[in-house]
Amino acid sequence: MNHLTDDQIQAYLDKNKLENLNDIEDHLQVCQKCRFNINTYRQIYTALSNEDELPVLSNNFSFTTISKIEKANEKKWNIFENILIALTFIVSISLSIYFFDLVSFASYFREIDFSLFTGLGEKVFSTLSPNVFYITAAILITGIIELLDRFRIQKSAKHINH
Amino acid sequence: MVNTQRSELELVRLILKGNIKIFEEIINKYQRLVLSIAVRFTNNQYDREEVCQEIFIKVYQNLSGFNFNSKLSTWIGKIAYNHCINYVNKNSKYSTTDSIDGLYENGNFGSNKSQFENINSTINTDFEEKEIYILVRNNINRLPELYQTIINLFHLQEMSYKEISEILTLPEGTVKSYLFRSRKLLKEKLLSSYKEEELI
Repeated sequence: MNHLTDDQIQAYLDKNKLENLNDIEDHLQVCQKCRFNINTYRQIYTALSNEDELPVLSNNFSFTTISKIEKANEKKWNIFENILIALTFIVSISLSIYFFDLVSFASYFREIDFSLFTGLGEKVFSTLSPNVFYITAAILITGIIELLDRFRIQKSAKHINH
Repeated sequence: MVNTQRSELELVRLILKGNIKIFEEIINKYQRLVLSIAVRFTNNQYDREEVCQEIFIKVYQNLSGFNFNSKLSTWIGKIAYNHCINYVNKNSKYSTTDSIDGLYENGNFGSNKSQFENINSTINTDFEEKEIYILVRNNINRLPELYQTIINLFHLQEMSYKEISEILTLPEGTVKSYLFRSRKLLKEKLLSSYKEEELI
């Protein structure tokens, strides 16, 4: 058998599937040159596999990463919450206009045709029975109070943090 | 024996349910993998930590998209590698090279034995081994990022050619070829710096 090539030696050391594995091992028994080559590669493999060379991350790496993720999540939730508050305001104002006769109050602003709202409200709420309406209104009002409260708490917490 | 470690599937499910603290297990398990990829793309401890954190944040944000078609380690490795490439592109102060051909031709690859001459002239087996080790490590640091990443993934993370090829989105044959070439280059450097009898 000819001397082993670099590729053959590396494939052998990588424990790749080799068809001529027995031939390689037999050859290594008798060939000093190939034994020298394989030993040189072994020294390289040892150096390459030494994990001590890899720098280490700080002890609190996972903790700080989790904190960063939590902060990012909090920010995301804040945006969502603010959108929700804005939407709740729009819905509640619309309901107020329709059900509490705010149209007449708003008619002072003659430039705006509030009858559009009235028509819209009638269309939407005519499908609801009075009981469903009262329940819906109660849920919405409670929701608004709850969100306003959360918003207030967050603001004061931020203020304290600063 | 009771298996106290949660399966990856279970871990991912718990995290997606909002249990963020569980993600710490993922970080602890894969931080060496991420570091072994990021290490060549960053040149100081601060940047390294930043990049690794950004990678894990990205992993967390994209976890819902992980469909278990591959191993979690491969998926995280891929995110890490792509993030590092983007990081290098954004920070052009770090030079990147994709080829080792120039290293062969210019003869500027690695340090030679003379750089150790001022360390210690005492020759003993341990010192020789350490010297060889330092020489190899120094030369690895001179390899282009891609080659060093392959070496780290294969030798430090004990990944297969296939797993590495998935991370780097390269054909398996290319990964194998790069790996073999890098090690051959290291061997040639070693042989050019030492006499045969010193290596036996």
